[in-house]
Amino acid sequence: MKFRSKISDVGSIQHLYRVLVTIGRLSDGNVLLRIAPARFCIFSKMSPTSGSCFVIADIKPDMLFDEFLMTGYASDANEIYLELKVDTLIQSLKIPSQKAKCLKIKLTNKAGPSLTVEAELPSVVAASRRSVFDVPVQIVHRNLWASVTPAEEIPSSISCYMPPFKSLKAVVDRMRLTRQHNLQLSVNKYGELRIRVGDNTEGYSACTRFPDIEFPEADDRHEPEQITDEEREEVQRKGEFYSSIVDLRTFAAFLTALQFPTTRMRCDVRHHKSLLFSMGTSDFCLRYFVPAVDSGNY
Amino acid sequence: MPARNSEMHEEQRSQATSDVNTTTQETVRDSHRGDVFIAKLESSNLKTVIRILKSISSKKIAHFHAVESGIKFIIQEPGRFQMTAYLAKELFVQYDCRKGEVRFKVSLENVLNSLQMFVGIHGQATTALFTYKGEGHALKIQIEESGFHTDCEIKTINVDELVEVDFRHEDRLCRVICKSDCMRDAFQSILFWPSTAVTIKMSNRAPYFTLETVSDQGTSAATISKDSDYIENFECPNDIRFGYRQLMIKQAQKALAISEKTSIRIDGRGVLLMQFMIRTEEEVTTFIEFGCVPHIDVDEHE
Repeated sequence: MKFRSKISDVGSIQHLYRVLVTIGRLSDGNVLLRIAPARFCIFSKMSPTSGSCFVIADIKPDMLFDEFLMTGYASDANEIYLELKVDTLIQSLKIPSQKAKCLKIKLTNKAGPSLTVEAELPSVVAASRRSVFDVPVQIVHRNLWASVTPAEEIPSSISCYMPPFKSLKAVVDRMRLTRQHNLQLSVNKYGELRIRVGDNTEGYSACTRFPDIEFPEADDRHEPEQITDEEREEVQRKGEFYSSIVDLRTFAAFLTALQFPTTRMRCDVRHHKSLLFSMGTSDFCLRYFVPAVDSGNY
Repeated sequence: MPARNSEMHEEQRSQATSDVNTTTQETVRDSHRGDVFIAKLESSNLKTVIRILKSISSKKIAHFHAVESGIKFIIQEPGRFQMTAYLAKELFVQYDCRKGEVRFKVSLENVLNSLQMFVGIHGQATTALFTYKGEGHALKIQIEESGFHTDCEIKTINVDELVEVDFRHEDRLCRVICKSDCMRDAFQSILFWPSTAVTIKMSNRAPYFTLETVSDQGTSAATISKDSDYIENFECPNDIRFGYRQLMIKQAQKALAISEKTSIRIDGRGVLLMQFMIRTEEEVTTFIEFGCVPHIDVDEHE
Protein backbone atom coordinates (compact mmCIF):
# COMPACT_ATOMS: atom_id res chain seq x y z
CA MET A 1 0.00 0.00 0.00
CA LYS A 2 1.38 3.34 -0.99
CA PHE A 3 -0.07 6.82 -1.10
CA ARG A 4 1.63 10.06 -1.96
CA SER A 5 0.09 13.36 -3.00
CA LYS A 6 1.05 16.94 -3.46
CA ILE A 7 -0.90 20.20 -3.60
CA SER A 8 0.92 23.35 -4.66
CA ASP A 9 -2.01 25.70 -4.96
CA VAL A 10 -3.09 27.79 -1.96
CA GLY A 11 -6.73 27.76 -3.06
CA SER A 12 -6.81 23.96 -3.17
CA ILE A 13 -5.19 23.68 0.26
CA GLN A 14 -7.86 26.01 1.67
CA HIS A 15 -10.60 24.04 -0.06
CA LEU A 16 -9.40 20.79 1.48
CA TYR A 17 -9.24 22.47 4.87
CA ARG A 18 -12.79 23.80 4.59
CA VAL A 19 -14.12 20.42 3.50
CA LEU A 20 -12.46 18.77 6.50
CA VAL A 21 -13.81 21.40 8.90
CA THR A 22 -17.33 20.87 7.53
CA ILE A 23 -16.99 17.13 7.96
CA GLY A 24 -15.60 17.62 11.45
CA ARG A 25 -18.70 19.57 12.41
CA LEU A 26 -21.12 17.11 10.85
CA SER A 27 -19.58 13.92 12.21
CA ASP A 28 -18.68 12.79 15.70
CA GLY A 29 -14.96 13.07 14.94
CA ASN A 30 -14.16 9.62 13.57
CA VAL A 31 -13.94 9.62 9.81
CA LEU A 32 -12.84 7.27 7.12
CA LEU A 33 -10.68 8.16 4.19
CA ARG A 34 -11.14 6.16 1.03
CA ILE A 35 -8.39 6.51 -1.50
CA ALA A 36 -8.87 5.00 -4.95
CA PRO A 37 -7.10 5.81 -8.24
CA ALA A 38 -9.82 8.25 -9.28
CA ARG A 39 -11.49 8.99 -5.96
CA PHE A 40 -10.59 10.75 -2.78
CA CYS A 41 -13.44 10.27 -0.41
CA ILE A 42 -13.94 11.36 3.21
CA PHE A 43 -16.96 10.18 5.14
CA SER A 44 -18.15 9.89 8.71
CA LYS A 45 -17.86 6.58 10.47
CA MET A 46 -21.20 5.05 11.36
CA SER A 47 -21.54 4.96 15.10
CA PRO A 48 -24.40 4.51 17.55
CA THR A 49 -24.07 8.16 18.63
CA SER A 50 -24.34 9.70 15.19
CA GLY A 51 -28.07 8.99 14.95
CA SER A 52 -27.47 7.38 11.53
CA CYS A 53 -26.78 10.76 9.94
CA PHE A 54 -23.80 10.65 7.69
CA VAL A 55 -21.72 13.03 5.66
CA ILE A 56 -19.67 12.14 2.64
CA ALA A 57 -17.34 14.33 0.60
CA ASP A 58 -16.22 13.05 -2.76
CA ILE A 59 -13.33 14.78 -4.45
CA LYS A 60 -11.86 14.07 -7.88
CA PRO A 61 -8.11 13.84 -7.18
CA ASP A 62 -7.24 15.65 -10.42
CA MET A 63 -9.05 18.74 -9.25
CA LEU A 64 -7.34 18.99 -5.89
CA PHE A 65 -3.94 17.36 -6.20
CA ASP A 66 -1.10 18.19 -8.50
CA GLU A 67 0.40 14.81 -7.86
CA PHE A 68 -1.58 11.76 -6.79
CA LEU A 69 0.05 8.36 -6.65
CA MET A 70 -1.39 5.33 -4.94
CA THR A 71 -1.13 1.58 -4.83
CA GLY A 72 -4.03 -0.17 -3.19
CA TYR A 73 -4.53 -3.00 -0.76
CA ALA A 74 -4.23 -5.67 -3.41
CA SER A 75 -4.12 -5.80 -7.15
CA ASP A 76 -7.79 -6.84 -7.31
CA ALA A 77 -8.80 -4.24 -4.74
CA ASN A 78 -6.88 -1.16 -5.63
CA GLU A 79 -8.10 1.03 -2.79
CA ILE A 80 -7.01 2.16 0.66
CA TYR A 81 -9.36 2.70 3.60
CA LEU A 82 -8.02 4.63 6.57
CA GLU A 83 -9.71 5.51 9.82
CA LEU A 84 -8.62 8.65 11.61
CA LYS A 85 -9.65 11.43 13.97
CA VAL A 86 -10.64 14.31 11.73
CA ASP A 87 -9.71 16.92 14.35
CA THR A 88 -6.07 15.83 14.24
CA LEU A 89 -6.00 16.21 10.49
CA ILE A 90 -7.72 19.61 10.71
CA GLN A 91 -5.15 20.71 13.28
CA SER A 92 -2.29 19.68 11.04
CA LEU A 93 -3.73 21.72 8.17
CA LYS A 94 -4.65 24.82 10.15
CA ILE A 95 -1.45 26.79 9.61
CA PRO A 96 -0.66 25.35 6.13
CA SER A 97 -4.16 26.39 4.96
CA GLN A 98 -3.28 30.01 5.65
CA LYS A 99 0.11 30.33 4.06
CA ALA A 100 1.67 27.11 2.81
CA LYS A 101 3.22 27.22 -0.64
CA CYS A 102 3.13 23.49 -1.03
CA LEU A 103 1.54 20.60 0.84
CA LYS A 104 2.43 16.92 0.67
CA ILE A 105 0.25 14.22 2.17
CA LYS A 106 1.59 10.67 2.25
CA LEU A 107 1.00 7.39 3.98
CA THR A 108 3.98 6.45 6.12
CA ASN A 109 4.81 3.86 8.71
CA LYS A 110 6.54 5.57 11.60
CA ALA A 111 5.39 4.52 15.07
CA GLY A 112 2.49 2.81 13.37
CA PRO A 113 0.65 3.80 10.22
CA SER A 114 0.34 7.56 9.81
CA LEU A 115 -0.65 10.17 7.31
CA THR A 116 2.27 12.53 7.11
CA VAL A 117 1.34 16.09 6.28
CA GLU A 118 4.35 18.02 5.14
CA ALA A 119 3.98 21.72 4.49
CA GLU A 120 6.38 24.18 3.01
CA LEU A 121 5.87 27.52 4.71
CA PRO A 122 7.30 30.88 3.75
CA SER A 123 9.93 32.28 6.04
CA VAL A 124 11.42 35.71 6.69
CA VAL A 125 14.86 34.44 5.73
CA ALA A 126 15.53 33.26 2.22
CA ALA A 127 15.14 29.53 2.90
CA SER A 128 11.61 28.27 3.40
CA ARG A 129 10.46 26.42 6.47
CA ARG A 130 9.09 22.92 6.57
CA SER A 131 6.56 21.60 9.06
CA VAL A 132 5.73 17.93 9.39
CA PHE A 133 2.70 16.44 11.15
CA ASP A 134 2.09 12.76 11.61
CA VAL A 135 -1.58 11.94 11.93
CA PRO A 136 -2.04 8.43 13.32
CA VAL A 137 -4.39 6.30 11.22
CA GLN A 138 -5.78 2.80 11.29
CA ILE A 139 -5.83 0.72 8.17
CA VAL A 140 -9.26 -0.79 7.60
CA HIS A 141 -9.14 -4.41 6.55
CA ARG A 142 -10.57 -5.26 3.18
CA ASN A 143 -13.25 -7.47 4.70
CA LEU A 144 -14.75 -4.47 6.47
CA TRP A 145 -14.88 -2.15 3.49
CA ALA A 146 -18.42 -2.95 2.52
CA SER A 147 -19.74 -2.52 6.05
CA VAL A 148 -18.20 0.92 6.61
CA THR A 149 -19.05 2.46 3.25
CA PRO A 150 -22.36 4.33 3.14
CA ALA A 151 -24.73 3.40 0.35
CA GLU A 152 -23.89 5.09 -2.94
CA GLU A 153 -27.47 5.23 -4.16
CA ILE A 154 -30.34 6.02 -1.88
CA PRO A 155 -33.78 5.70 -3.45
CA SER A 156 -35.86 8.84 -3.35
CA SER A 157 -39.50 9.73 -3.83
CA ILE A 158 -38.76 13.14 -5.28
CA SER A 159 -35.70 15.29 -5.92
CA CYS A 160 -35.58 19.06 -6.02
CA TYR A 161 -33.27 22.00 -5.54
CA MET A 162 -33.53 23.78 -2.23
CA PRO A 163 -34.56 27.47 -2.06
CA PRO A 164 -31.80 30.11 -1.91
CA PHE A 165 -29.44 29.12 0.87
CA LYS A 166 -29.57 32.43 2.71
CA SER A 167 -33.36 32.44 2.91
CA LEU A 168 -33.47 28.82 3.94
CA LYS A 169 -30.92 29.29 6.69
CA ALA A 170 -32.60 32.42 8.04
CA VAL A 171 -35.96 30.64 8.22
CA VAL A 172 -34.58 27.48 9.81
CA ASP A 173 -32.54 29.43 12.34
CA ARG A 174 -35.62 31.38 13.33
CA MET A 175 -37.65 28.18 13.63
CA ARG A 176 -34.99 26.72 15.89
CA LEU A 177 -35.62 29.57 18.33
CA THR A 178 -39.22 28.45 18.75
CA ARG A 179 -37.98 25.46 20.78
CA GLN A 180 -39.71 22.90 18.65
CA HIS A 181 -38.00 19.55 18.16
CA ASN A 182 -38.88 18.42 14.69
CA LEU A 183 -38.95 19.94 11.26
CA GLN A 184 -41.02 18.64 8.41
CA LEU A 185 -39.79 19.16 4.88
CA SER A 186 -42.34 18.50 2.15
CA VAL A 187 -42.14 18.83 -1.60
CA ASN A 188 -44.83 18.35 -4.21
CA LYS A 189 -44.32 17.82 -7.88
CA TYR A 190 -45.68 21.24 -8.73
CA GLY A 191 -42.66 22.93 -7.29
CA GLU A 192 -43.77 23.86 -3.82
CA LEU A 193 -41.51 23.20 -0.89
CA ARG A 194 -42.77 23.54 2.65
CA ILE A 195 -40.86 23.69 5.87
CA ARG A 196 -42.93 23.25 8.96
CA VAL A 197 -42.30 23.14 12.69
CA GLY A 198 -44.74 22.30 15.44
CA ASP A 199 -48.32 21.19 15.11
CA ASN A 200 -51.64 22.21 16.57
CA THR A 201 -51.15 20.20 19.74
CA GLU A 202 -47.91 21.93 20.63
CA GLY A 203 -49.31 25.43 20.84
CA TYR A 204 -47.16 26.80 18.08
CA SER A 205 -46.72 25.97 14.45
CA ALA A 206 -45.03 27.73 11.59
CA CYS A 207 -45.06 26.67 7.99
CA THR A 208 -42.98 28.43 5.35
CA ARG A 209 -43.87 27.88 1.72
CA PHE A 210 -41.32 28.31 -1.01
CA PRO A 211 -43.09 28.29 -4.36
CA ASP A 212 -41.50 27.62 -7.74
CA ILE A 213 -38.52 25.60 -6.68
CA GLU A 214 -36.57 23.90 -9.43
CA PHE A 215 -36.15 20.25 -10.22
CA PRO A 216 -33.07 18.48 -11.56
CA GLU A 217 -33.37 18.25 -15.32
CA ALA A 218 -32.85 14.53 -15.59
CA ASP A 219 -35.67 13.88 -13.17
CA ASP A 220 -38.60 12.39 -15.07
CA ARG A 221 -40.87 12.72 -12.06
CA HIS A 222 -41.06 16.43 -12.64
CA GLU A 223 -44.04 17.44 -14.71
CA PRO A 224 -43.53 20.95 -16.06
CA GLU A 225 -47.20 21.42 -16.84
CA GLN A 226 -48.88 24.69 -15.97
CA ILE A 227 -51.64 24.43 -13.42
CA THR A 228 -54.26 26.82 -12.18
CA ASP A 229 -54.64 27.86 -8.58
CA GLU A 230 -57.70 25.64 -8.13
CA GLU A 231 -55.79 22.61 -9.36
CA ARG A 232 -52.90 23.47 -7.11
CA GLU A 233 -55.24 23.62 -4.13
CA GLU A 234 -56.71 20.29 -5.16
CA VAL A 235 -53.28 18.69 -5.21
CA GLN A 236 -52.42 20.17 -1.85
CA ARG A 237 -55.68 19.02 -0.32
CA LYS A 238 -55.08 15.53 -1.54
CA GLY A 239 -51.77 15.71 0.26
CA GLU A 240 -49.56 14.80 -2.64
CA PHE A 241 -46.60 16.02 -0.74
CA TYR A 242 -43.55 13.89 -0.25
CA SER A 243 -42.27 14.66 3.18
CA SER A 244 -39.94 13.62 5.96
CA ILE A 245 -39.71 14.78 9.52
CA VAL A 246 -36.20 15.30 10.79
CA ASP A 247 -34.63 16.59 13.96
CA LEU A 248 -34.71 20.40 13.79
CA ARG A 249 -31.42 20.90 15.61
CA THR A 250 -29.60 18.44 13.37
CA PHE A 251 -30.88 20.21 10.28
CA ALA A 252 -30.04 23.68 11.60
CA ALA A 253 -26.56 22.47 12.59
CA PHE A 254 -26.04 21.12 9.08
CA LEU A 255 -26.83 24.50 7.52
CA THR A 256 -24.53 26.24 9.96
CA ALA A 257 -21.69 23.78 9.42
CA LEU A 258 -21.31 24.41 5.69
CA GLN A 259 -18.01 26.17 5.23
CA PHE A 260 -18.10 27.01 1.54
CA PRO A 261 -20.40 29.11 -0.62
CA THR A 262 -23.34 26.96 -1.57
CA THR A 263 -24.95 27.94 -4.80
CA ARG A 264 -27.31 25.08 -5.36
CA MET A 265 -28.29 22.39 -2.94
CA ARG A 266 -30.16 19.36 -4.08
CA CYS A 267 -32.53 17.54 -1.81
CA ASP A 268 -33.72 13.97 -2.28
CA VAL A 269 -36.78 13.22 -0.23
CA ARG A 270 -37.57 9.63 0.53
CA HIS A 271 -41.14 9.77 1.73
CA HIS A 272 -41.32 9.30 5.53
CA LYS A 273 -37.84 7.78 5.51
CA SER A 274 -35.00 10.22 4.93
CA LEU A 275 -33.61 13.39 3.41
CA LEU A 276 -30.40 13.52 1.42
CA PHE A 277 -28.77 16.85 0.64
CA SER A 278 -26.08 17.11 -1.96
CA MET A 279 -24.13 20.03 -3.30
CA GLY A 280 -21.00 20.72 -5.23
CA THR A 281 -19.60 20.67 -8.70
CA SER A 282 -18.66 17.89 -11.08
CA ASP A 283 -15.25 17.61 -9.39
CA PHE A 284 -16.44 17.85 -5.82
CA CYS A 285 -19.56 16.67 -4.10
CA LEU A 286 -20.71 16.84 -0.49
CA ARG A 287 -23.67 14.81 0.61
CA TYR A 288 -25.43 14.76 3.95
CA PHE A 289 -27.96 12.12 4.89
CA VAL A 290 -30.56 12.69 7.61
CA PRO A 291 -32.94 9.88 8.57
CA ALA A 292 -36.56 10.74 9.40
CA VAL A 293 -37.43 10.66 13.07
CA ASP A 294 -41.07 9.82 12.68
CA SER A 295 -43.26 8.13 10.14
CA GLY A 296 -45.07 11.44 9.86
CA ASN A 297 -48.42 11.89 11.48
CA TYR A 298 -48.48 15.59 10.76
CA MET B 1 -57.00 52.97 23.82
CA PRO B 2 -57.35 55.08 26.94
CA ALA B 3 -57.87 58.78 26.53
CA ARG B 4 -54.85 59.58 28.67
CA ASN B 5 -52.42 58.61 25.96
CA SER B 6 -53.45 61.53 23.91
CA GLU B 7 -52.40 63.83 26.70
CA MET B 8 -48.84 63.88 25.44
CA HIS B 9 -48.42 65.30 21.96
CA GLU B 10 -51.94 65.63 20.89
CA GLU B 11 -50.82 67.37 17.74
CA GLN B 12 -48.86 64.46 16.35
CA ARG B 13 -51.68 62.10 17.00
CA SER B 14 -54.15 64.23 15.15
CA GLN B 15 -51.75 64.55 12.25
CA ALA B 16 -51.39 60.80 12.03
CA THR B 17 -52.95 59.47 8.89
CA SER B 18 -55.87 57.16 9.18
CA ASP B 19 -56.54 56.64 5.50
CA VAL B 20 -57.39 52.99 5.49
CA ASN B 21 -58.27 51.94 2.01
CA THR B 22 -61.88 50.88 2.14
CA THR B 23 -61.88 48.89 -1.07
CA THR B 24 -58.97 46.69 -0.09
CA GLN B 25 -60.54 46.23 3.28
CA GLU B 26 -63.66 44.86 1.64
CA THR B 27 -61.69 42.28 -0.31
CA VAL B 28 -59.99 41.21 2.88
CA ARG B 29 -63.35 41.01 4.57
CA ASP B 30 -64.52 38.51 1.98
CA SER B 31 -61.55 36.19 2.33
CA HIS B 32 -61.64 36.34 6.12
CA ARG B 33 -65.33 36.01 6.76
CA GLY B 34 -64.92 33.91 9.91
CA ASP B 35 -62.34 36.14 11.53
CA VAL B 36 -63.26 38.52 14.31
CA PHE B 37 -59.96 40.33 14.09
CA ILE B 38 -57.79 41.25 11.10
CA ALA B 39 -54.75 43.50 11.04
CA LYS B 40 -52.15 43.88 8.34
CA LEU B 41 -48.73 45.42 8.73
CA GLU B 42 -46.29 46.46 6.06
CA SER B 43 -42.55 46.72 5.77
CA SER B 44 -41.34 49.77 7.69
CA ASN B 45 -44.08 49.66 10.29
CA LEU B 46 -43.46 45.96 10.78
CA LYS B 47 -39.90 46.79 11.77
CA THR B 48 -41.17 49.37 14.25
CA VAL B 49 -43.64 46.87 15.73
CA ILE B 50 -40.86 44.29 16.12
CA ARG B 51 -38.73 46.92 17.86
CA ILE B 52 -41.56 47.86 20.20
CA LEU B 53 -42.44 44.26 21.07
CA LYS B 54 -38.79 43.37 21.62
CA SER B 55 -38.49 46.22 24.09
CA ILE B 56 -41.24 44.80 26.31
CA SER B 57 -40.43 41.11 25.84
CA SER B 58 -38.91 40.47 29.24
CA LYS B 59 -41.69 38.00 29.93
CA LYS B 60 -42.85 35.15 27.75
CA ILE B 61 -46.59 35.58 27.99
CA ALA B 62 -48.36 38.77 27.00
CA HIS B 63 -51.96 39.87 27.12
CA PHE B 64 -53.27 40.74 23.70
CA HIS B 65 -56.04 43.27 23.83
CA ALA B 66 -57.42 44.67 20.60
CA VAL B 67 -60.01 47.42 20.41
CA GLU B 68 -61.15 49.58 17.54
CA SER B 69 -58.34 52.10 17.95
CA GLY B 70 -55.49 49.62 18.05
CA ILE B 71 -53.81 46.73 19.82
CA LYS B 72 -52.33 46.64 23.30
CA PHE B 73 -49.70 44.07 24.24
CA ILE B 74 -49.45 43.96 28.01
CA ILE B 75 -46.86 42.12 30.05
CA GLN B 76 -47.09 42.26 33.79
CA GLU B 77 -46.13 40.93 37.11
CA PRO B 78 -49.49 41.36 38.83
CA GLY B 79 -49.41 43.93 41.59
CA ARG B 80 -45.83 44.98 40.86
CA PHE B 81 -45.31 46.33 37.38
CA GLN B 82 -46.86 46.35 33.97
CA MET B 83 -45.68 47.30 30.51
CA THR B 84 -48.06 48.09 27.73
CA ALA B 85 -47.18 48.53 24.09
CA TYR B 86 -49.82 50.42 22.15
CA LEU B 87 -49.92 49.66 18.47
CA ALA B 88 -52.15 52.35 17.04
CA LYS B 89 -54.55 51.49 14.24
CA GLU B 90 -52.63 53.95 12.03
CA LEU B 91 -49.63 51.60 11.99
CA PHE B 92 -51.64 49.03 10.06
CA VAL B 93 -52.62 49.17 6.41
CA GLN B 94 -55.75 47.19 7.24
CA TYR B 95 -57.34 47.01 10.61
CA ASP B 96 -60.66 45.51 11.54
CA CYS B 97 -61.76 44.57 15.03
CA ARG B 98 -65.30 43.35 14.49
CA LYS B 99 -66.40 42.38 17.98
CA GLY B 100 -65.36 45.74 19.41
CA GLU B 101 -62.91 44.01 21.70
CA VAL B 102 -60.68 40.94 21.51
CA ARG B 103 -58.55 39.75 24.40
CA PHE B 104 -56.47 36.71 25.14
CA LYS B 105 -53.06 35.67 26.40
CA VAL B 106 -50.42 34.64 23.91
CA SER B 107 -46.73 33.75 23.87
CA LEU B 108 -44.97 37.00 22.99
CA GLU B 109 -41.80 35.05 22.30
CA ASN B 110 -43.51 33.12 19.53
CA VAL B 111 -45.23 36.22 18.15
CA LEU B 112 -41.79 37.79 17.82
CA ASN B 113 -40.27 34.65 16.33
CA SER B 114 -43.04 34.60 13.74
CA LEU B 115 -42.72 38.27 12.86
CA GLN B 116 -38.99 37.92 12.47
CA MET B 117 -39.18 34.79 10.34
CA PHE B 118 -37.66 36.52 7.33
CA VAL B 119 -35.38 38.92 9.14
CA GLY B 120 -31.91 38.73 7.69
CA ILE B 121 -33.07 38.04 4.16
CA HIS B 122 -32.62 40.83 1.68
CA GLY B 123 -35.79 41.25 -0.22
CA GLN B 124 -38.73 43.39 -1.03
CA ALA B 125 -41.51 44.44 1.26
CA THR B 126 -42.50 42.15 4.07
CA THR B 127 -46.10 42.03 5.16
CA ALA B 128 -47.61 40.48 8.25
CA LEU B 129 -51.29 39.65 8.54
CA PHE B 130 -52.79 38.90 11.95
CA THR B 131 -56.09 37.05 12.05
CA TYR B 132 -58.11 35.58 14.91
CA LYS B 133 -61.30 33.57 14.64
CA GLY B 134 -62.47 33.90 18.21
CA GLU B 135 -62.30 32.09 21.52
CA GLY B 136 -60.50 28.78 21.43
CA HIS B 137 -58.79 29.51 18.14
CA ALA B 138 -55.14 30.21 17.51
CA LEU B 139 -53.74 33.61 16.59
CA LYS B 140 -52.66 33.31 12.98
CA ILE B 141 -49.83 35.36 11.58
CA GLN B 142 -49.08 35.20 7.89
CA ILE B 143 -45.76 36.64 6.82
CA GLU B 144 -44.82 37.23 3.23
CA GLU B 145 -41.57 38.28 1.71
CA SER B 146 -40.40 38.13 -1.91
CA GLY B 147 -42.85 35.38 -2.75
CA PHE B 148 -42.13 33.26 0.31
CA HIS B 149 -44.97 32.75 2.76
CA THR B 150 -44.97 31.62 6.34
CA ASP B 151 -48.14 30.74 8.20
CA CYS B 152 -47.79 30.67 11.95
CA GLU B 153 -50.38 29.57 14.46
CA ILE B 154 -49.91 30.49 18.07
CA LYS B 155 -52.07 29.02 20.80
CA THR B 156 -54.13 31.54 22.74
CA ILE B 157 -55.35 31.38 26.31
CA ASN B 158 -58.69 32.97 27.15
CA VAL B 159 -58.77 35.71 29.74
CA ASP B 160 -61.73 37.53 31.18
CA GLU B 161 -60.34 40.45 33.09
CA LEU B 162 -56.95 41.92 33.55
CA VAL B 163 -55.93 43.57 36.80
CA GLU B 164 -53.94 46.58 35.73
CA VAL B 165 -51.61 48.81 37.70
CA ASP B 166 -53.95 51.55 38.85
CA PHE B 167 -52.63 55.05 38.34
CA ARG B 168 -54.87 57.74 39.80
CA HIS B 169 -54.73 60.64 37.40
CA GLU B 170 -56.81 62.91 39.65
CA ASP B 171 -54.27 62.38 42.43
CA ARG B 172 -51.20 63.18 40.34
CA LEU B 173 -48.29 64.68 42.28
CA CYS B 174 -45.96 65.50 39.45
CA ARG B 175 -45.39 65.36 35.73
CA VAL B 176 -42.20 65.61 33.68
CA ILE B 177 -42.05 65.51 29.89
CA CYS B 178 -38.60 65.41 28.40
CA LYS B 179 -36.56 64.20 25.46
CA SER B 180 -35.60 60.59 26.05
CA ASP B 181 -31.86 61.20 25.56
CA CYS B 182 -31.34 62.80 28.94
CA MET B 183 -33.50 60.23 30.74
CA ARG B 184 -31.63 57.43 28.99
CA ASP B 185 -28.28 58.72 30.25
CA ALA B 186 -29.64 59.30 33.74
CA PHE B 187 -31.06 55.78 33.95
CA GLN B 188 -27.97 54.20 32.48
CA SER B 189 -25.67 55.86 34.98
CA ILE B 190 -27.66 54.76 38.01
CA LEU B 191 -28.72 51.30 36.83
CA PHE B 192 -25.13 50.34 36.14
CA TRP B 193 -24.55 49.38 39.79
CA PRO B 194 -26.52 46.44 41.14
CA SER B 195 -28.70 47.43 44.07
CA THR B 196 -32.20 46.80 45.32
CA ALA B 197 -33.89 50.14 44.97
CA VAL B 198 -33.97 53.30 42.91
CA THR B 199 -35.22 56.47 44.55
CA ILE B 200 -36.92 59.19 42.56
CA LYS B 201 -36.90 62.63 44.20
CA MET B 202 -38.66 65.65 42.78
CA SER B 203 -39.21 69.14 44.06
CA ASN B 204 -39.84 72.67 42.83
CA ARG B 205 -36.37 73.72 43.97
CA ALA B 206 -32.96 72.77 42.57
CA PRO B 207 -31.95 70.05 41.80
CA TYR B 208 -35.59 69.46 40.74
CA PHE B 209 -35.32 65.85 39.51
CA THR B 210 -33.02 63.27 41.11
CA LEU B 211 -32.57 59.54 40.52
CA GLU B 212 -30.59 57.80 43.24
CA THR B 213 -29.36 54.31 44.06
CA VAL B 214 -27.41 52.97 46.98
CA SER B 215 -25.28 49.95 46.19
CA ASP B 216 -22.34 48.14 47.78
CA GLN B 217 -20.01 50.31 45.75
CA GLY B 218 -21.49 53.56 46.99
CA THR B 219 -24.24 56.00 46.22
CA SER B 220 -24.95 57.07 42.71
CA ALA B 221 -27.23 59.93 41.74
CA ALA B 222 -28.29 61.64 38.51
CA THR B 223 -29.99 64.99 38.55
CA ILE B 224 -31.82 66.91 35.85
CA SER B 225 -32.68 70.57 36.22
CA LYS B 226 -36.06 71.82 35.09
CA ASP B 227 -34.27 74.51 33.05
CA SER B 228 -32.47 71.89 30.97
CA ASP B 229 -33.05 72.07 27.22
CA TYR B 230 -34.21 68.48 27.33
CA ILE B 231 -37.12 69.18 29.66
CA GLU B 232 -40.33 70.25 27.95
CA ASN B 233 -42.63 70.34 30.88
CA PHE B 234 -42.01 70.13 34.61
CA GLU B 235 -44.78 70.22 37.17
CA CYS B 236 -44.12 69.36 40.78
CA PRO B 237 -45.55 71.73 43.38
CA ASN B 238 -44.42 69.71 46.43
CA ASP B 239 -41.35 67.70 47.39
CA ILE B 240 -41.82 64.01 46.72
CA ARG B 241 -39.65 60.97 47.24
CA PHE B 242 -40.47 57.38 46.29
CA GLY B 243 -38.45 54.18 46.01
CA TYR B 244 -38.86 51.51 43.35
CA ARG B 245 -37.24 48.11 42.89
CA GLN B 246 -34.29 48.39 40.57
CA LEU B 247 -35.17 45.12 38.82
CA MET B 248 -38.51 46.55 37.80
CA ILE B 249 -37.14 49.89 36.69
CA LYS B 250 -34.67 47.98 34.51
CA GLN B 251 -37.59 46.54 32.54
CA ALA B 252 -38.29 50.02 31.22
CA GLN B 253 -34.78 50.59 29.92
CA LYS B 254 -35.23 48.96 26.52
CA ALA B 255 -38.39 50.92 25.83
CA LEU B 256 -36.65 54.10 26.92
CA ALA B 257 -33.80 53.35 24.54
CA ILE B 258 -35.99 53.31 21.44
CA SER B 259 -38.21 56.23 22.39
CA GLU B 260 -38.10 59.87 21.40
CA LYS B 261 -39.84 61.49 24.35
CA THR B 262 -40.57 60.35 27.87
CA SER B 263 -43.24 61.40 30.32
CA ILE B 264 -42.94 60.54 34.01
CA ARG B 265 -45.85 60.83 36.43
CA ILE B 266 -46.28 59.75 40.03
CA ASP B 267 -49.57 59.65 41.91
CA GLY B 268 -50.34 60.14 45.59
CA ARG B 269 -49.65 56.50 46.47
CA GLY B 270 -46.32 56.54 44.69
CA VAL B 271 -47.45 54.61 41.61
CA LEU B 272 -45.02 55.50 38.83
CA LEU B 273 -46.24 55.84 35.28
CA MET B 274 -43.76 56.35 32.48
CA GLN B 275 -44.79 56.81 28.86
CA PHE B 276 -42.37 56.49 26.02
CA MET B 277 -43.26 58.01 22.70
CA ILE B 278 -42.03 56.29 19.57
CA ARG B 279 -42.32 57.81 16.13
CA THR B 280 -42.22 55.58 13.08
CA GLU B 281 -40.63 56.38 9.73
CA GLU B 282 -44.08 57.31 8.49
CA GLU B 283 -44.57 59.82 11.30
CA VAL B 284 -47.08 57.73 13.21
CA THR B 285 -46.65 58.11 16.94
CA THR B 286 -47.19 55.25 19.28
CA PHE B 287 -46.52 54.57 22.94
CA ILE B 288 -45.09 52.16 25.42
CA GLU B 289 -46.38 52.63 28.94
CA PHE B 290 -44.66 51.41 32.06
CA GLY B 291 -46.46 51.34 35.38
CA CYS B 292 -44.80 50.32 38.62
CA VAL B 293 -45.79 50.30 42.28
CA PRO B 294 -43.38 51.74 44.88
CA HIS B 295 -41.03 49.36 46.66
CA ILE B 296 -40.80 51.17 49.95
CA ASP B 297 -42.35 54.44 50.87
CA VAL B 298 -39.08 56.10 51.78
CA ASP B 299 -40.67 58.96 53.67
CA GLU B 300 -42.46 56.65 56.09
CA HIS B 301 -39.23 54.90 57.06
CA GLU B 302 -37.30 58.02 57.83
